[in-house]
Amino acid sequence: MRADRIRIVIFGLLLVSLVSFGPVREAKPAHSAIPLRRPAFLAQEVTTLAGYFDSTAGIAAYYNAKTPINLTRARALFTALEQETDQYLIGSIRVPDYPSKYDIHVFLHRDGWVMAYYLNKDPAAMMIDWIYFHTSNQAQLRTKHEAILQYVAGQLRLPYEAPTFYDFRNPGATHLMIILKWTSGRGDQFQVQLPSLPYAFYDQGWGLGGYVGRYECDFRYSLGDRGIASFRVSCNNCWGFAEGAFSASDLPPNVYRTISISAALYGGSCADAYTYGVLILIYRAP
Amino acid sequence: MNMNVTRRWKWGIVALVLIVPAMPSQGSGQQGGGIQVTGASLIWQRELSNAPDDLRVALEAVPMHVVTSQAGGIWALSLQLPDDFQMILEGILTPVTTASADQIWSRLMPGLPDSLWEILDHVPVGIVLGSADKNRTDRLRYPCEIVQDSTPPQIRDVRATEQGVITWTTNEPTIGRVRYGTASGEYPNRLESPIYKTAHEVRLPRLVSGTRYYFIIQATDRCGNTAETPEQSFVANPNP
Repeated sequence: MRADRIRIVIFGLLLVSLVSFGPVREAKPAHSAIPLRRPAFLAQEVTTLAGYFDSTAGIAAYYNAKTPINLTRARALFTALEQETDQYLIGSIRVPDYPSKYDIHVFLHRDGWVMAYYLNKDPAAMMIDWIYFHTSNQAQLRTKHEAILQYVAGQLRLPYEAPTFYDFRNPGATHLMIILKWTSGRGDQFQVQLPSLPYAFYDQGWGLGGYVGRYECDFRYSLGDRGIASFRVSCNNCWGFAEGAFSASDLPPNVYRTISISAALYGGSCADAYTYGVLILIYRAP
Repeated sequence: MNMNVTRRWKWGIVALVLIVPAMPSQGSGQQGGGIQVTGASLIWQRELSNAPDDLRVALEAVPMHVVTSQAGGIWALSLQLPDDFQMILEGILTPVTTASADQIWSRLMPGLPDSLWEILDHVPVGIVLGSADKNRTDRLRYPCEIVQDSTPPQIRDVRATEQGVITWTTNEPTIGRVRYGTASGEYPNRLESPIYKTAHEVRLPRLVSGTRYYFIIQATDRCGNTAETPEQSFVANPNP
């Protein structure tokens, strides 16, 4: 009898969660109450910038330093400069300690706006700053966006504050969730279940980072029994990275899926290895 | 505690706990609030915002089922409540802190009252995580201040079928609204297209055959700029 009650309660909760939602609430326009003060001389740039970011940018993080930015001085920070006006700069900046593949794009406006973003073709998991997480003894989960915003603020002596995120690829998305698993052993796993409507999932990115203290290791990221990614790192005190995106059918709603990470130990040569796995969800929440 | 319950539970559910932390919005640990869980196999989390007044009454009699197992783990029902409710509930519920979750806290009671069921009807189910070491959620927000967009969107390709399906596109992501009625210039009804996108479709419900319907479309972009179409109309034939 007691078992039946518990079963009824839990099934009931799950059932309620599935069938009980009312109409989707109207999304409030972002910043609808913020007075926009567009200088007349920016008229052309306004259209250009909005369209430019909508068509090229992916996940972005931005904040306002609330102090003018010396663009002339800022030029030196860029690895490559793509656009330059007397109002703003757009270019890419090297993320320290990462290969050039992870260079992040940066928009700097003389009014104090700073935005770091990856391109719309870049996997979401590129944003994870694995090295920072590792060196913080797995305590601080930071994005490369934040790393570079802090770097720019430091170099230009700007105030820094926690940025706001946006995904230009998915204007309907309201939230970004980062789910991380790490292990210093042979492997570990976590489980995830995504809800159905009115939630909507636009991007389900995976990422794998592997650190080898000595010798070599094979790192692997798996969904259930299916290998998603693997790579070998053969050097001392160095890293390997991989990232991509799941398809919608890989993580169907209301189904538990297990995500595993592992570091293979071939012949005992893999020593002092740390494996890091991430699932990044970009979604609309009611 | 009836451990047979757990053994018979086909999903291996190990615990259902009613907890009351305020959900942290960023940089949170596993579950935030008063709950710290490691080694859990599953965590089921729901978020309830702005609980109605009768929730207090319902929760004073709330039953909580906590079932633990050797597998280790916890299922958590998380309610985010206004402060006054939270204070009340904190007097009832014990914060849970555990390292293994093999045996946490037990409070077995009869079934949920109907009033709580009704309230839970309006609770969205959240993402379920188990055994993740870290999670973090950020709300996404369009950088209006950067693009300084004060230009209304353009509404294009408006089409209406006799079945009441109205479609349109916009030149930038917008949310939309169709306002409609059976007299020109009067639109007592409305339908929403609440997600920012460039291609929209709504279906007007309960159309009367042979009746002419008048409608306008309003589109609002991510910075709050709104455009509106001139009035258009169609004669309904919902069952051709």
